[in-house]
Amino acid sequence: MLKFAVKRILVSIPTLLAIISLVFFLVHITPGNPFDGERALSPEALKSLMAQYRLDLPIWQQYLLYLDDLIHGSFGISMKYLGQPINSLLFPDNMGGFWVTLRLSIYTMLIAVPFGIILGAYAGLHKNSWFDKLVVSSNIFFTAVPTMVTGPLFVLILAVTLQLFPAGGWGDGDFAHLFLPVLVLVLAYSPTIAFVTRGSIIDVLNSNYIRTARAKGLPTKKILFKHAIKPAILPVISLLGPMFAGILVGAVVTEQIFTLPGLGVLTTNAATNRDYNMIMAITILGSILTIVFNIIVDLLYMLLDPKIKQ
Amino acid sequence: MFVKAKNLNLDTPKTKGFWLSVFSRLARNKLAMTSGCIIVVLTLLCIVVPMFSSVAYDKTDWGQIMQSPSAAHWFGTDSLGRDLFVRCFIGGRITFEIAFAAAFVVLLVGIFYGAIAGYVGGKLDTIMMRIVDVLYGIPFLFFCILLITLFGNSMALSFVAIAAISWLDMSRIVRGQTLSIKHKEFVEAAMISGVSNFKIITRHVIPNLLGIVIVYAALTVPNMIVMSAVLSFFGLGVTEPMTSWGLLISDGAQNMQAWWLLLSPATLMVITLLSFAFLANGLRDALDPR
Amino acid sequence: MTAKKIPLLDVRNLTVEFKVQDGLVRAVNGLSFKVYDGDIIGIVGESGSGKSQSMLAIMGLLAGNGKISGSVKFMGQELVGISTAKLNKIRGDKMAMIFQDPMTSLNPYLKISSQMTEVLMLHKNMSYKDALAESIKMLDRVKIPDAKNRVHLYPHEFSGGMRQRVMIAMSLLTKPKLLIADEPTTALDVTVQAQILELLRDLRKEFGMTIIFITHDMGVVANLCDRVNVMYGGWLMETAAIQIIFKNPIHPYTQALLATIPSLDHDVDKLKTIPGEPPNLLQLPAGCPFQERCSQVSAACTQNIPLRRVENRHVVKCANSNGVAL
Repeated sequence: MLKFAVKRILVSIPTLLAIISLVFFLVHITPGNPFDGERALSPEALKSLMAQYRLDLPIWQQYLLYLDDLIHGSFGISMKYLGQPINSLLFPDNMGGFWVTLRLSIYTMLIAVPFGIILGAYAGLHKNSWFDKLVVSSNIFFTAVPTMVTGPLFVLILAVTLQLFPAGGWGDGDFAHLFLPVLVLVLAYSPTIAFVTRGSIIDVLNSNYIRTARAKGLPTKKILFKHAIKPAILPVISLLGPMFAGILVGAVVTEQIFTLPGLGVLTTNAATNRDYNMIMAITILGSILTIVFNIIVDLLYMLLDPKIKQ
Repeated sequence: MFVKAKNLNLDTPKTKGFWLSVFSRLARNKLAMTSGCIIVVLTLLCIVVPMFSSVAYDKTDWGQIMQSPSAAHWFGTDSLGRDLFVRCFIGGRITFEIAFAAAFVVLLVGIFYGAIAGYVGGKLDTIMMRIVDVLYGIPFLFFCILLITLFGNSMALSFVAIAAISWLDMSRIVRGQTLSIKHKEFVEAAMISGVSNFKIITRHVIPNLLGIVIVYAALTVPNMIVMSAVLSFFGLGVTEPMTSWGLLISDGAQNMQAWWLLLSPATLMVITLLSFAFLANGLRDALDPR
Repeated sequence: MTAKKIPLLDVRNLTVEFKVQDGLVRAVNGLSFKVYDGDIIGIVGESGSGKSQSMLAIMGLLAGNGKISGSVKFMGQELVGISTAKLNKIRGDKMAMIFQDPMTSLNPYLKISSQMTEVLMLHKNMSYKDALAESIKMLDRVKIPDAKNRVHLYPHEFSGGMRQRVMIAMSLLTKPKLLIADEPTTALDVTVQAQILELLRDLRKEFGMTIIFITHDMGVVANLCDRVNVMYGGWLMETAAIQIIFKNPIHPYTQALLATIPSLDHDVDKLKTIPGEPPNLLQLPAGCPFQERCSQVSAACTQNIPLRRVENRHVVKCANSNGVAL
C-alpha cells in the first residue's frame, strides 16, 4: 500500500512540472515586458531592471533558474514592489496574505464536511420527508447561486441592516470577523456534500448486501454504522478532492466581498500592476495546493476501499 | 450470406420516436417549461429594453444620483445618476452574450476534443487526457487572471479566458460517453461489417452524444455567467461605462446603503441561474427517466 | 385418526402490492401453501411470477413501497405485521435466506470473518473467538480450502462459486429450521451449479433444515426438490410432489412449462416455447393471469378461481380442473 502511495505522489510531479512550465512560458512568451508604460525609464534604468529580473537572459536559462528558485522554496521577487521577495508578501509574519485564505478554506472544510454529511445522511434516511426535500432544494439553490451573490446579500441583511456582524475587514482574525465569510462559504459548499451523501446513503441502503444484513436479523443501528457507513462515505470523499480547488477560489472571491487581506487582494493588485512574478507565484501556489489536496483525498479513499488496498 | 455494408440499416436506438418521447416528457415538466420561458423572456428583455429605453445606459445625471426606485427610475439610479433599470438589462445583454458565446465555444471544443479522444483511444487518448489533467490542476480564477493580466483587460479576452478553462469538463464527459457508446454492440457490429468511421461517428456516436451534451449545455451557460460575474468582481473583463451583472452586483456590494443597487441585478441573476438549473434538471429527467 | 402435523410455514392468502408512479403492482396474489418440516420445496416461475417477492415478503425484506396482507405463520408465530425487533430475532436465526448474486450480496467492505461472526455473536451470544472458530468449521464444511486463513479475506478475493458457498455457510451458522434460497445457482456456471446443489443436499442430510428453493429451471427442481410450487403472474398455479408434477401435471401452465424442457433423448427441429409474453403486473386481467397464453382458456377463467385439491397434497388453481375446493 505504501508503494501505491509513493507511486501516486510521484505521478503528480510531472503534472505539477507541466503546470509550472505552462504558466512560466505563457508569461514569458507574451510580448512586452512588465516595465512598459510604468513611468518614463531611462534606457540604463530599464537595462538594469531587466538584468535584475534576469529578463536579459535566454529564456531557457530563466526557466531553469526559476525552477531552481522554486526548489529552494522561493517564488522570486515582486515586479511591483521592487526588491521585495514574493514570499514575504504571500506569507507575511502577521498572519495575513496566504494564511488568511488558508484559514478560511480550512475552517470551511472543517465545518462544511461534517455538517453536510450529517444533514445528507439524515435526509437520505428519511427520504421524501420535508427535511429531505429541503436538503435537495437547497442544493439546487446554493449550487446555482454563487457566493458573490449570497455574500453581499448576507452582508446586507446581517451586517448593514441588523448590525449583528461587521460588514468586512479582518480585525485580528477574531470570531466576529470570521463568522460571515465562513458562513457564506459553508452555505455554498455543504449543500453539495449533503446532496451527495444523501444519494449515496439511498443507493447503499438499496444494495443487495444491506438486504443480506437485514436478512441476518441485524438491528438497524448495526446495519447503519457497521455495514452502510463505509460505502456511503466513499463517494463523498472522492467529491472533496476537486471541491477543495473550488473552496480555494470561493475563499478568494469571499475575501473580495469582505475586504479580507488574503490572496484575493494580492491577486487583484498583481493583476492591476502587472506583477507577473506575483501572478505566477499565486497560480502555482494554488495549483500545488490543489494537487496536494487531491493526493490526500486519493490516499484516504485508497485506505478505505479494500478493493484498491491490494 | 453477407449483405453489403451500405445496405445494412443499423438503426441506432435513438429513433425519431425517442426524441418525440423526450420532448413530450419535457413538456410535461411544468417547472422546466416555466424556467425555459423565463429564460426566453429575460433574453428578449435584455435585447429590447436597452433598444427602446428613453434613457441611455451610460447617461449620467448629476441631479439624480443614488435615487431609490421611483416612477421615473423603476430600479433607481446609481452613484452617477444613471438609470439602473436600463443598466440591468444592458448588463444582462452583455452577460448573456459572453455566456452564450463562451458556452458555444466550450461545446464545440469540448465535444470535438472528447469525441476524438474517446473514439480513437489508445495513445492519443492518453496524451489528450493528460493535457486535460494538467489544466485541471490550475484553479480557474487564477488562470483567468493570469491570462487577462498578460493580454490586457477586455471583454473579448475575458470570454476567451473563461472558455479556455471550461471546455475541460465537457471534454471529459464527452469522452466518457463516447467510450461507452463505442463499446455497445451495435457499434461493434457496424465496425465489423466495414461501415466507415465517418458514418459510424455521424450515424451512431453523435446522436447518442446529443442527450448528454444538451444537458451539459444547459449547465454550462449558467457557469459562464457566474465566471464572468466573478471576473467582473475582480475588476476584470467588462469595463465602465459598459456594464454586466457582475459589475452591477460588485457596485451594489460596495454601496450597501443603497440597497436597490444590489437587489435588482442580484435578483435577475439568481432568477436566471435557477431557471437554467431547473431546465437542466428537467432535460436530464426527460432524457433518462428512472 | 392421525394428528395433523403443524406446518413449519403456513402461508394463507398472501398478497404483496407495490405502489408505483403508474398505479398498483400486485406481485403476489392470494398465495396459500404449507411447508412441513423436512420438505425441500422448489418454487418455479418466470420473471414476474412473484416467486421471489413472496419469499422476500415473508422475510420482511420488501422494498419501501411494498404492502403485505394475509397471513404467514412460521412455527406457529404470525409474521405479517410483526415488529421489526421481533422479526430480527427470527430471521438470521431460525429462518435464513441466501440470494442470487453472491458478489453483490456480500458486503465488499467487510471481511468474511466479520460478516460471519456477527450472526453468531448476535443470535447465539457467542464471543468473537468462539464465533470465529465456528465460522471456520462451517467454511470447512462447505469445502472452502484453507478456511482458517481465507476467513479473513474480503468477498472480492473469492471466486463466484466459492462466494456462494460462503453465503451458504453464513446462513447455516445458526442451524436454521428453514433455509430460503433465491435462485442461488442462476448466476453460476453449470458445473459450479451442480456442485452447489450437491452441497445443499449433503448439508440437508447433516443439518436437517427445510429448504425452499426458488428457481426458473425445472431441471434444478427435478434434481433437488421433493415438492414443487408452480407460480405465474403472482398466483400459485399448482403444487404437488415432484414425481406427480412430472407424471401428471394438471395446470395448463405446468404442462406448457414441462413441454419446453428439451430432451437429451431425441432430436427436435424447433424448441418448444410458450406463445405470448409475461403479464403486465400493472394491468392484470380479471381472473387467471395465464388466460391470454392458455390453450385451454374458457369463460370461467375470468372469474375468481379457488384452489382445488385434486389428490393428497396436490393442489391446483385452474378453472378447468376437478377436485375439492379448499
